[in-house]
Amino acid sequence: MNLLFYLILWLVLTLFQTVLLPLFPVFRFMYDLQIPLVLFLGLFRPLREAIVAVIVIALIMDGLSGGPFGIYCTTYFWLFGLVTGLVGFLHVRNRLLLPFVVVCGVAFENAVGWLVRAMGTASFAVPPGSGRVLVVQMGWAAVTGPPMLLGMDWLTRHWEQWIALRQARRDG
Amino acid sequence: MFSRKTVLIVGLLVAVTINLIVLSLSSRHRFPSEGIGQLAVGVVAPFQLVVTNSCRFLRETWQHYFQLVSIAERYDQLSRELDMATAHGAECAELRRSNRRLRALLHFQDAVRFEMVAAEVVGKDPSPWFKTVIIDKGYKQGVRKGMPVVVPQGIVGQVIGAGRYFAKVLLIIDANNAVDALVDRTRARGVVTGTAMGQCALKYVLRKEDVRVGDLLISSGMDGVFPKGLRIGFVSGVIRRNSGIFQDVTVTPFVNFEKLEEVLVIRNEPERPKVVATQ
Repeated sequence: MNLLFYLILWLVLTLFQTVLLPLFPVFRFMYDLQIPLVLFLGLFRPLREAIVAVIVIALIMDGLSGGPFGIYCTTYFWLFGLVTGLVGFLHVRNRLLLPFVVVCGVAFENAVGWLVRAMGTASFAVPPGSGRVLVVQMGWAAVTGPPMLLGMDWLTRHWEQWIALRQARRDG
Repeated sequence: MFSRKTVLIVGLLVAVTINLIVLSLSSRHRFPSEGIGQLAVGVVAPFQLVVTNSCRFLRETWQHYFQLVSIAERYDQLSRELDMATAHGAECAELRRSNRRLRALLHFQDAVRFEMVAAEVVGKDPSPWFKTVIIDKGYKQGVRKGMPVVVPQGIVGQVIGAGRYFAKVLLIIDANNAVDALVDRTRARGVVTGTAMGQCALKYVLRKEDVRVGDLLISSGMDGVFPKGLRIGFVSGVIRRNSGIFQDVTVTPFVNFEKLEEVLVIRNEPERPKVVATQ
């Protein structure tokens, strides 16, 4: 049931990203809204259920995107692995550090995108204008990322409470 | 035998190596896997269609019912533009007749009649680095991979994947797309590709070629995808460096990709004009 909930979250974020936000020019250089979802799964959710969700989300995003296959799988798997590993060493769940975590996630995704582009074109030159895109994305990530993470955590807890309540009524 | 730390480090190195190899192979094979792509589009596109139609309904409601004040002025302006367009249309019809006569005299084939299917854009690429859109027509409506996509203003891109009811279109502003183009004035030839900022560049234009700001670019028809003569954009910048054999040409496309709502998919293959040898 939790997997279904994560997929619904993913679908809502995808619709925002691909249909609603492109309608507004101010969001032209918005970052990938799935980054906070992947970070949320790595920081706040059990490994067993989170990794399945990350695999499914990454595969579908790779199929949806026009980029080379594997770019989202690479980004999301490594990002998920990094935050899961770091949770044991650093207080990355600390609310003060959340903007930094999201910004690093966005920077990592851009680095993967640059690497893939370099592999495809055999040129390591940074495309003109990329710096500005990256700065804008990191700005948006710092502002909107932490509220998204905390919002998803809140929603997930209420979802689990509702499921538990339903189960208790069914049993008792 | 090996410590946990060693196993972890070796495992990480192997994973990174495999990942880099897969990415390298994938980036050279231009387009993503069709099976998963079709599944992903098939899952997400119906929801995108619902949300897009809802947004369109709300926008049209706003425009129709809350902007009545400007409608009368707009009506007058459009009436004047229609009169001008009608006159221009008559002129074009005459030019078309002359063109047909002259081509017949030179034993050229008539311009190809395009068989088109109209489609609506329901969603855009989730990544800011890649420029694709999803349209609401698939192979059920005759859309196939490789078909060119246009609007009256000019070329939009080409179909890179088609599912049953939806298809994915790679825009010309994407770096992976390439359109063989001609400068209309001088017939200088180059390849139009996308750049990172949503513009285009005309590549492989020799330094000796005469290209100026404002020149019109059209498709050459030599790439086997886009029919000849379709508008692409205009030259917005030319840089001739002291070194190198090519000049850097920036192109502004005619199509406004930020406001792309409806497109046309050309279903019949472009034909190259048959040249009959003269005596």
